[in-house]
Amino acid sequence: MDAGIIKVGLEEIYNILPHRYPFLFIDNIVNLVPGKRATGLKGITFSEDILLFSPSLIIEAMAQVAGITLSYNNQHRAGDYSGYLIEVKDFSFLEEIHVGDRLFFDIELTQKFGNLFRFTGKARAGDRIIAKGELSIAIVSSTG
Amino acid sequence: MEGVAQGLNDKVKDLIIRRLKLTIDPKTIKDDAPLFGEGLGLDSIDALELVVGLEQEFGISIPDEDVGREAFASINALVAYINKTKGQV
Repeated sequence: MDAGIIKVGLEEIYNILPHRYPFLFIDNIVNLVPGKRATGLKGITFSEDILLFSPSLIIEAMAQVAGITLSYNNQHRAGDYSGYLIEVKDFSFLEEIHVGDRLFFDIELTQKFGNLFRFTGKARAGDRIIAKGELSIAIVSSTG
Repeated sequence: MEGVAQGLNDKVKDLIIRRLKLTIDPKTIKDDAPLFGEGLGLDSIDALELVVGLEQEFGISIPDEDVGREAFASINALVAYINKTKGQV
């Protein structure tokens, strides 16, 4: 049943994103359709400072999942291209995060125009919707 | 026919103001003024929002930047693009 489902581990995420601890907010990608949608996972552990995982970092986590979706399996690799979060739109923050939560970040591409990509994003823990909204990423060549 | 054309111009101006949350009077938008840079002063994020709006409200697709550059040249250019694309359907 798992045939066709792409999973991306941390080691491969390191090759795609320039982000590193403590600013990498994705443990792995559990389901990826390159260029279209993905679900990223982050476990909230006891040792993590839960207070620091603010709404803005939820958005950043979604942006990182979006970056992996755009970069996986194509030319937009770290080093050659940089992804920038350029727009956050209509975000709602609905529930608090708790220690022990497994946070899933679902993102899906809804529009592309040139080097700009808009996604819908949702953060959930179990059946609790933590946050939802739209965000846009610009992919820019790092080599000029 | 002129009334119909002006009606579409007004609808496009309404879309731009609404989608981009501009606080200007639509009458101040000149039909032949550039939408980006000088003129209305829109930027690339605004372009993305307009692409979404045109697709949702007019059923019009702007497939790439080259087409966008032509279509977003002015209100008149955008209306011409809508008419041309609708005519091809």
